[in-house]
Amino acid sequence: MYFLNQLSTVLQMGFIYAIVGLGVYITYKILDFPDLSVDGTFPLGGVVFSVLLTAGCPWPVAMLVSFFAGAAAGLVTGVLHVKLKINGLLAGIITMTALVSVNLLIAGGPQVSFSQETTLLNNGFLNGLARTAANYMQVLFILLIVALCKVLLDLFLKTKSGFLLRATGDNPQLVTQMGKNTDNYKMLGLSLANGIVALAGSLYCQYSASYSSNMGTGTVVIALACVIIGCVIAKHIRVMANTTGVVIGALIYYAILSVAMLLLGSDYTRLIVAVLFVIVLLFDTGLIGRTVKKLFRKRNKEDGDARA
Amino acid sequence: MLELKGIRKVFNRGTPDESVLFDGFDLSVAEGEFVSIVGSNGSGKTTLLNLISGTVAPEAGRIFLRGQDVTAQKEFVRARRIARVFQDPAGGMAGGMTVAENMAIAENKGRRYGLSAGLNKKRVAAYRDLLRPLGLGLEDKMNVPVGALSGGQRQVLTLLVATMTPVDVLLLDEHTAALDPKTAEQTMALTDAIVREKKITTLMVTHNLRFAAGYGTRLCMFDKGKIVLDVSGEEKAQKQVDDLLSLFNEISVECGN
Repeated sequence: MYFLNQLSTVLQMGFIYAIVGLGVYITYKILDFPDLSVDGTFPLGGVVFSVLLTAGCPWPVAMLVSFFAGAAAGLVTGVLHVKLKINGLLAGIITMTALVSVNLLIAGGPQVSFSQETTLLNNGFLNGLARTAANYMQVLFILLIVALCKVLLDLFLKTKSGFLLRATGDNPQLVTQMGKNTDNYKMLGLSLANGIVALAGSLYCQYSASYSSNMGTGTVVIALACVIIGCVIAKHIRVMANTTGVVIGALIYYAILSVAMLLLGSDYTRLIVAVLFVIVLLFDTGLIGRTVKKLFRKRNKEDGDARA
Repeated sequence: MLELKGIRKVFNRGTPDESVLFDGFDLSVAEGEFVSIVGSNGSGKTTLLNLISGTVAPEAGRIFLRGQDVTAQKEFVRARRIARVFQDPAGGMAGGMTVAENMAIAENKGRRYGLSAGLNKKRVAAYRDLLRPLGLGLEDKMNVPVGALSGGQRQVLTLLVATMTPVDVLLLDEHTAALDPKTAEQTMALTDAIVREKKITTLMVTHNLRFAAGYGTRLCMFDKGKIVLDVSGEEKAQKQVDDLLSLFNEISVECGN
């Protein structure tokens, strides 16, 4: 039972971060833009959702509004970058920093809790189930949102507009040649990405039935790790779309993170996140793969020498 | 059709390294002309194309396209009427996207890029028919990322794709320079065929004097921002590669090379 409950937590959190990963996939992989505003837009989605919900707004509407709030914040990063020509990393940091205050002002304090309100993850239907069953039903609900985001994103990337978004990250010159302003596509991508991230933030708050101002710390690092793992997986499996890879990458990442947290305690969470990220990056550059290969080759050689 | 009047272009303005490339530069290209442009490095050939496409702005002077002053127009606005092929085969296409996707993007040039499907089976079949006559086997590589094609295949594809929609001017920036001699030859022949068939006004920068002499209806030789040779029609037809080479050497000697 203990294992089942732990597993459901991994699946719940893994799928929530899979949504963040889908957003970050747009900026990091498609636009080739290192967007740090995610650390601010994830809690932004959460706080907008929480405040609306406690004010009596139904949860689907609150989720939709949190998406648009995130999209607006992403647009700010976009405008800073393409219109004011501020370096991409800095534009993200500026938005992220400003959002700390914005989030506090919206929340009116460091915490908003709403354990009595009806949400996607807390309603009459779920309360009628046994605890473990309810947990897995929650997993299913989150998975539905993941699937919705993934399918819509996949479809969008296959439209004419989606083609140009991909081309903007791939070769901006091509988009210019087509008589289109790459600025607009960068802003579109940043908006969409941060909207999705904020949507994930609203789910995160529903999962914990509260908003806390520190929920955003480290989001970028976690999401990037999910995206990088996912794309490495998708690269090696021909039929798998990158977006599917991201979802699976998020699950793998969160499983490893959970095990590490269980072994070391939750004080180490951010440290583990950071170290895991370094390991993921090393895998991505192929450094670890090469070193392992080299070690094995050396050992084989030594074995051979010994035999001779 | 295309006119540059009194163009002044300065590099590193306001620094000790300031150098004036063009000063009071004029060029007029008639409808349907195919101009080959040769000249040593730094003579202003590529800068001319950059000025026309809007990649760089002149300090003074005006640029007219079909009588319309486009000097102040941004690059992406001007690009709606101009097609350009670069020296670098990676320049004109999205390397991570497939052949079909790149062609779909190009075919839609000048129209809205909305939320309708980017590709469908019928279009892919049409693209295939378009690629088959090239004999490069590209018709079997519709779903291969462009980045995985050879330089020659990419350059031919770029050329074809750049002229898929009607444009006023085609700019070729040493587009055969990165290719092996045989592929360069094929690409050049294809270029000529496309330009003739679609009657596109074309400016081609090249270092290959043989291409410059053999193709096109007009030939310009650039030196330090000035046109030192400008021939067309009969006069151009009589110019041999050797004539060009000796003039070219003369200029280079003057430069002290």
